[in-house]
Amino acid sequence: MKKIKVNFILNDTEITDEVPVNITLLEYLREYLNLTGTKEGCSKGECGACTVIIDGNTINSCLMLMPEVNGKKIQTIEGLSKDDLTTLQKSLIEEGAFQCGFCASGMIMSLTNLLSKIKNPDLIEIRESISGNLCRCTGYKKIIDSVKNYINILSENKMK
Amino acid sequence: MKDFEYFIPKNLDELFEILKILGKNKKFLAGGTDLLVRLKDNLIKEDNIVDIKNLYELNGIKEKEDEIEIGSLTTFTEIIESDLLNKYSPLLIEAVKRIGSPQIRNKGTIGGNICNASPAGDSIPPLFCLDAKLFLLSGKESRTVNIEDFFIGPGKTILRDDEILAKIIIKKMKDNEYGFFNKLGQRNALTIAIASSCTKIIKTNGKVDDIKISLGSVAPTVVRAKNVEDRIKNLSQYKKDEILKICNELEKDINPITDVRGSREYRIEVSKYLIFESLNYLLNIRG
Amino acid sequence: MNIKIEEKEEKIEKEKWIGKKVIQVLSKEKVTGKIKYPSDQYAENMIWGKVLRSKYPHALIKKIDVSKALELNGVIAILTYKDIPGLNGFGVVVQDQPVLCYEKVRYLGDAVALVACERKDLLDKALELIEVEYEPLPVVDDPLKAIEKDSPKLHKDGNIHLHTIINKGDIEKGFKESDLIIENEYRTGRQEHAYLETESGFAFYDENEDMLTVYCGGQYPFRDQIQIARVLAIDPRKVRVINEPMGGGFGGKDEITTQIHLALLAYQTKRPVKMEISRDESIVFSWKRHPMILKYKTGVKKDGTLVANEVYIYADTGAYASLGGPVVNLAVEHSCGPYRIPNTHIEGFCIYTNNGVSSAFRGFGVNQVTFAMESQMDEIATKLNIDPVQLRRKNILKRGDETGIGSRIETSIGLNKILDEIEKHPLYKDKEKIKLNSSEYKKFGVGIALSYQGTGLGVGLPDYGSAWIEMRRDGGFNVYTGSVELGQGAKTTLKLIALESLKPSDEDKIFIITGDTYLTPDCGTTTASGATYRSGKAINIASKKMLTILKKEVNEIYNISENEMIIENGCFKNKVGEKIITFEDLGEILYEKRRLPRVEGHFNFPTSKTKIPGAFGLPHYIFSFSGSIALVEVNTLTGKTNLIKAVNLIDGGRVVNKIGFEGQSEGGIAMGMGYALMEDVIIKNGEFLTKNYSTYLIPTSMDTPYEIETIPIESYEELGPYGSKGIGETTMVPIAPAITNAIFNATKARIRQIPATPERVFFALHPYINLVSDTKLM
Repeated sequence: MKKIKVNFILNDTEITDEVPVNITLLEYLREYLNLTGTKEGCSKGECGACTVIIDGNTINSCLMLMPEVNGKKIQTIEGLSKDDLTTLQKSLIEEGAFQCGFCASGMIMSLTNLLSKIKNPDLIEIRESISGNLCRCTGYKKIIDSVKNYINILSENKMK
Repeated sequence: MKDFEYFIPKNLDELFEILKILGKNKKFLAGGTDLLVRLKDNLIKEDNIVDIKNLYELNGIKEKEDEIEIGSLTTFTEIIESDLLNKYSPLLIEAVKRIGSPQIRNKGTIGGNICNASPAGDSIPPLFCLDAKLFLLSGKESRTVNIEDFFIGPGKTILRDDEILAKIIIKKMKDNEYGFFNKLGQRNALTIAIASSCTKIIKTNGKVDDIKISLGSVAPTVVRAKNVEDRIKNLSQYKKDEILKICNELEKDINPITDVRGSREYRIEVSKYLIFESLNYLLNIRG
Repeated sequence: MNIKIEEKEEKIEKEKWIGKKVIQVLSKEKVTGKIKYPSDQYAENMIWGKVLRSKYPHALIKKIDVSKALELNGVIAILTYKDIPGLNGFGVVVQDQPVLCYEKVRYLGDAVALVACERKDLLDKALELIEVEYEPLPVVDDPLKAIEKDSPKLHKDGNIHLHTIINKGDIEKGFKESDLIIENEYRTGRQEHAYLETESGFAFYDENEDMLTVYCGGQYPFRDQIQIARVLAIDPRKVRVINEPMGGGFGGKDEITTQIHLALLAYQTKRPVKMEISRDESIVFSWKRHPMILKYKTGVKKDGTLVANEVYIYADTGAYASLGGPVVNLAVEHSCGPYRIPNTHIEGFCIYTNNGVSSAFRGFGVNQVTFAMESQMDEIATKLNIDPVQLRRKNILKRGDETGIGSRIETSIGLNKILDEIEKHPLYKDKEKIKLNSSEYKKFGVGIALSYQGTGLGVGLPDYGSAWIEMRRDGGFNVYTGSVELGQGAKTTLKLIALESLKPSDEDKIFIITGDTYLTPDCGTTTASGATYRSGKAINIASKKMLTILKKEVNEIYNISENEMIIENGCFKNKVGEKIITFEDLGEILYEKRRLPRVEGHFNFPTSKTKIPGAFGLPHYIFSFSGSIALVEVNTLTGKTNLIKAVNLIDGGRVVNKIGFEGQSEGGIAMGMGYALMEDVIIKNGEFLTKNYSTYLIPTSMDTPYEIETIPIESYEELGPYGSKGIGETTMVPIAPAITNAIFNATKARIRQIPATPERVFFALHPYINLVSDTKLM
């Protein structure tokens, strides 16, 4: 088994490790670090359950080889809110957006990334941002409603 | 996943040194959205992976007079967000927007899409229409080939073992040029085309001076619909009946297979309509 | 059991929880990624397991040699059929599927051997080293050929697992009386559950306790327990099964998936075992929706009155029985739709082939016959020039009417109200105006469909609910019930029922525990849209007992008569509203006295008093009803169809969990839309051509319409908890024929095979769309 030294930032913490070259970031997160928030749904980049944010962009961690993470800044669902829930997470809870919840982590990473780039996304932008995240339970409606709700909360806060 | 040796050259010189040693027995890793899937499916026979992402020479989108040079490592998202390409190459943007998903677009590269040489690669048909040239580099020399000469068959190109695709050079679209990318999929995102067509016309005073039509997923490689193009160029007016008859000639230009996404028969017929739909859209524009 | 309307309405007004929007249980854990699914479980000293699956769709096994594989460094164990201590078989109804095959393989997902390795990366190497000698047999892949006399046989008794025949009235006379007869063949696709979490699981054996624990997504932990114990030849009480949480079930985790394999490895090796099922493996081995060929001949009078219906159903059940029999019987029961038809002849065949294995899937046979019958109704409406709503109004069942199989529905029916709502809905009312927005090549169309769904398992099958409730020191309650949270919202729905029944001060006072054989009572299987009903009723019954006991306790302390007491908001009050004692204070007192009460509630699902001879399980007793309106846009140049808007009208009795109800409806639209337009596991000659998410396509956020409207039609079901029934399945059924009827409305092309892929729609409509009258394009 060939190994390689990697150095990267994960959820604001620096990590240096020696890892097999032929494992993916998804495997590393789940099995080496026991960070099981990021899920495996298909392992081929077709479902988005493994979505993480790398250097400001959403990436399928199942399609990222460990050697490729060198020098990168990675954020997973665990790193999203250290102590408290984000406003988006609160909104998703309020709207009852998720059912089985398995797609939630990936979905939230995609939506968080969208909201960091576009303050007031319209319906098309919201739908496109999660077009790479499959959900089998919800039909996506309440997830989208949560984002709209989130935008309302923000604008209400601004007015206050 | 099989075990392999992993190389990550810092620059082109390092790359070519490595390629001298590895020869055929190597696979380039750019975005990896295709390579990783193949590795997991046990379809990769090679023992060496060469990660080319540190080759800064392959980055960037530059304007060069009436051409634009796109580094082969440019991701699909970078293409979509490029002001330059949005201004001078909206046809390419239209196609790239339909690839995969946001996550795939953030990592996949145009160089990878081209070198994978899938007839379903969505960035390829617009490159055909934009007269793209591919700049290939090896340790010894460089050469520029027309994109239409690059593909030999599904997954096969003329790229030599010691070569790398460095940049793609396309012509800027002018004010009297219009394009339409038409991808037919079984669903609206994360889908491989059943058939796709890309059409670019140059129109003056309402007449088509030049037209290029390329099709994806209906032949062993992306192809040009030369039979249809020639006949359109000869038209003096654009009536629906005439155009439909001409679309029928498409059968001479394509050779689709039957697979899980569609039958050969459907692909032949629907391609005619994809082109018809594109022409219907384009020829209603006042030129 | 007649509750007067005013009394009923008064009760409903006083309700605090039923139908309200509440935070769903475990939502915080889901949005933070903290919730642990079976695939997230890890342990020190854990080993990895994997199944060696068949190389051929149909073959004899001549020899299995594991010696080379055992030599591989890091292999802990390899099990074959020789290593099975007890019964080498599983299956909900008959145990005809081998845990590990010994003489024959009948589909590509059949398990031949099990390996356990120290490391995950060794598993594939170990599997490669196992040598199996096969003698391929001819593949049976056409259900119509499979029932012919000279077809190769998959099982000893031939390829027909079940053949159900129903006769009602006089079918020939019925056709003679008909003014119009519509005869068609319909085909439906092989839908895959495609839950985001596959069947991965985790198990460990505690030697000190002599207890085996299995974590795996499932829908009936107590039956998993039995199926495991039977194979391992151990006492079922030594097996703990925990089915939750799971990443989706939809009926696909009703039958055993990975539980027995996990148990075998954990028990044998005495180490914690993890088995990860990849998506590819899941699509091949796991259960599917029965593809069906449906032949319908429907006779009707020119005023639209249905007179006769002759139905032949050929269901491809694949290699093993699983729940194929019940699926076909439910299809037979619902084959005539929710309509009065005096003369029927219905035959359902459940047929073995080498095409995977089909079993339970949301709708359970009703999806297929509803597609067929609602297409027939649509064609009748067109040919007789009767409005589709009026045609249905003429024929829908009323309470007490006989169904197509001759049984009567004595319970609540919301069909008339559903039709009322459809009729006045702008999408239907203004459909001609909406269609004017069509352009030359993009046509809009509106379609409707109705459906109904028998809930519960049916007559003659044990179907029950159980709940335990114990009071806590803090005045709250722990509620235990064996139903499983599949993701469908069961935990929250049942918590709402507990809140309404026990009336504590706020929602944090109810703690609900579900889906664990060690902690909860057996509550039957979480299927057949019955979890709310079974567990809800049991909770209701147990709650009444609990409050009776608590009233008695208060009486003993304060010497106030039980008749003078009112309970509200976690407080005992007297008739004039003065506080006697809070639940919190009472809990503290009872704790001191060591008298915190614990009660049980038991309930049997109401079943029909009569049986349909020759049709096991039929008829059902309580039904949910639904209707859908679909607005589609068809690209007539390519056949690509988009669902633009959808309306779901659901009669599941009273809505208990508002968010859960809407969520099931919205998700049901997406799943039904996928069934109608794009989902199909394609198998040719027993080989799977669709093997992963890139070829098996489910709707993305760009496909599912945002404009989904859910209209609850709350017919009060007196027998149900707070008047509710069940909605898990019917929410996905009528949208599919509504979509294909809408395609007809848009283009005049009739779709008789789903999924209606762009190719199928294209070839169906091109005879009707004349782009240019003189030009031949094909």
